[in-house]
Amino acid sequence: MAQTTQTEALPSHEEAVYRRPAALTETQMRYCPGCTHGTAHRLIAEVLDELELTDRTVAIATVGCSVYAYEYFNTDSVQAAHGRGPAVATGIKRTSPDSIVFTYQGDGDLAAIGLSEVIHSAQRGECITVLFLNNAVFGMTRGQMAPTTLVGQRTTTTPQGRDPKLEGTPMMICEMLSGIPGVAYLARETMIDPKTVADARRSIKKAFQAQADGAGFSLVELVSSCPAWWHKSPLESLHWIRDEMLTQYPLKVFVDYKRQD
Amino acid sequence: MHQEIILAGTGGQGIQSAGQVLAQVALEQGLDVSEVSQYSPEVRGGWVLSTVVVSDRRVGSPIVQMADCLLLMSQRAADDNKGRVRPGGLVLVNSSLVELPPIPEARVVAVPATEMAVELGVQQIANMVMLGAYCKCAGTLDIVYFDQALQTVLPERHHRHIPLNLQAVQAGVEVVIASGE
Amino acid sequence: MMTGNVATAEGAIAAGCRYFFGYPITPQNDIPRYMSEQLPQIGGVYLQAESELASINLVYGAASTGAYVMTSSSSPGISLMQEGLSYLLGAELPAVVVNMVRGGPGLGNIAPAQSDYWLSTRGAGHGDFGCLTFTPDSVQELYDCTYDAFEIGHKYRLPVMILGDAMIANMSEATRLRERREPPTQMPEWAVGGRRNGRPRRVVNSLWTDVPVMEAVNLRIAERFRQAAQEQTRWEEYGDDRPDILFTAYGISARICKTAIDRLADEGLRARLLRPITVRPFPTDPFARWAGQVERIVCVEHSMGQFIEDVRLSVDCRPVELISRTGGVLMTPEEVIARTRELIAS
Repeated sequence: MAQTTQTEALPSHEEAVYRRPAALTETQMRYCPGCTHGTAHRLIAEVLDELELTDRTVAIATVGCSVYAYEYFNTDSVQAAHGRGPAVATGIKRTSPDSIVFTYQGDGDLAAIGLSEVIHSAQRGECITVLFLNNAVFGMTRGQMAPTTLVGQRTTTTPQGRDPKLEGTPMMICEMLSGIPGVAYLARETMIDPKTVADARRSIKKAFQAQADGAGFSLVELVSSCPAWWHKSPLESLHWIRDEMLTQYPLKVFVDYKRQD
Repeated sequence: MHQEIILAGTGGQGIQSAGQVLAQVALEQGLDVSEVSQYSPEVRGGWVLSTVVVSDRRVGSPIVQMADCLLLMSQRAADDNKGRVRPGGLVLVNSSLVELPPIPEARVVAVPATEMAVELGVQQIANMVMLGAYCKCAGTLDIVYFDQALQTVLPERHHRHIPLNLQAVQAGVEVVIASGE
Repeated sequence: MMTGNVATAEGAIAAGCRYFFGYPITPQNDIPRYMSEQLPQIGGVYLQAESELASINLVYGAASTGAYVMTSSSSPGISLMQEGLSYLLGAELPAVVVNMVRGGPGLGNIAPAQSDYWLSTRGAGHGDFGCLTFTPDSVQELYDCTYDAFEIGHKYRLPVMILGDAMIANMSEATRLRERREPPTQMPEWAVGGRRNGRPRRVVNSLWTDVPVMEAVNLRIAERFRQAAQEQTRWEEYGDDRPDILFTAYGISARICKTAIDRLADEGLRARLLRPITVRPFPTDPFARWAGQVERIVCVEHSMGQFIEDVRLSVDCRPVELISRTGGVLMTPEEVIARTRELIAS
């Protein structure tokens, strides 16, 4: 309510250059300071508003730190069981084909328990969009190893660092999906400075555009931070993305959707 | 009227179709009926059983331990199921393929069904020869209902074979008459 | 004449169901076969999922748009669906789930069994739970129960289970069909699909970390279940009006009992069958009514004594005797008669 008052109080000759996108509710987000979930939410919401898709959209909240996403996106929303977001999204898309359906999944939800659902949705060329937040750790359950945890990275359950002989190597989701014909748009982005944020926004927009045009499956991996379980400050976390995460997970547009018109 | 029939044979002999045609004949005649097909896990060449219960009341159990009538189409089916007939019951044997020692307390009728089917042109209609023979021996179901039953049970692409199937049924009836049974 | 599987599928289509998601498993494969042939011809969607986990979550997604949606499976597949069933209940979404039960536990076999009674009535998922469960005993009743299940599920916002078995799934019987109904055009007020025309946004959710809210949700679901129990409990009675023995059985066991009762009557023994057509809600009233009027109560089931628990809870502490087989072995009427004679003699 405070914000509404503020907006109304703006002098008429001034232009608002920054305001909450209509696709976000006014609910206070519960994310930790320095976590990039907030940025990702905002970029998605901006894109939905810009493409005028907000009123057609159903957001799928999954399990993990973003479990409350249904409180933040000002769209119809469905909360899904752990890992099953793409299946739920498919069920909605098949019964309500005019809807824009996206899942918002972390690395535990998508790359561990939900790997099968995301691969088969891509294989079917399902017209849904997946936002995949990869911060190399299970956040909500208190910092355990994820499939995307870096080799040598210490987590609650790899106290000596991830050992590839014992726990294998980081799972490269985009690389796995890149050969699937049903994929219309596939990119890995991050959000550590204005340029990468702008790039991420562009990829998210292309992903939703691909869905709106019925071109097929789209996924954007966002290499994200977890200051809490990386035991780093917000700024150190962004540096760690730049220096460590991006070495393992290079930024790339894997499949570039070209409009058919 | 209440009769329990077990048809037993080998995959490919049309046991399930025969069971369904027989059930449909009963239905056309205004009786209640339940048909259950069972088969071994192998997709080709395994055993197949069809159990048909026909009744002028609502059919209760579709599961039958001892049948009023057994139709044995192959040697393996005969070996496995020859004991499943009630005292005083009826056993029809496809004598083209099955050698069967006499079953005490049952009326055993030999029908060279496969040979007769080959003579009619197609080995696959041996099942219909057996059904014709069954109708004649048991006297419970009327063969006039086969035409309608076949039209209902067979997929449309097989309807052109209905006259041949009816011939086979008729041949089954006649072989029983000729044998004096 | 049609098989139980086909009657189930046709019952769903006739009720207006146009969405089916499933994964292959014997002995229910004729349901997806029929659906994959029929649904695309009438504007529906058939989709084979990559697993039962996916199937039930495709159902969850479709159900959240208010559509009439169904899946079918058999015992091991239903185990995998338990999570999704719980989410359906928690999110107050109706859907129809068919279980053509086979022998178990584990991979078991593909023979008819009733050993998923507890799975359906007690354990169809975590949490305070109750989906409605129908137990048809004929091909006609499979058709009718499946037909009714969609409207009933939507009325009470509860998932509905059709609990069959490998025998009724694959037997053929005459079936009276109703006219195929169009799917409902009016979407329920809770269905998602985009907040078109500026309506307030809707959320389908089963996460309630505020515990009093979670309790309120559970009480709300329980109240709808109670209402369903009042209005939808079904059973059939068969046999002698002044019986000495009360048989109770559901599904295929009830069919076997009917023949056994007829033959016992020929031998001068007066018996009656009380057959639940819904086991959740359970028809406790007729059990209470008959319990005091018979010499013995005999429960016949194809499991180790699951159904008998609900019977015992409904007969005012009267003893209940069990006749059962397990692992996919089916009893014949002769076996039921012989074992009843043994009970009488002992």
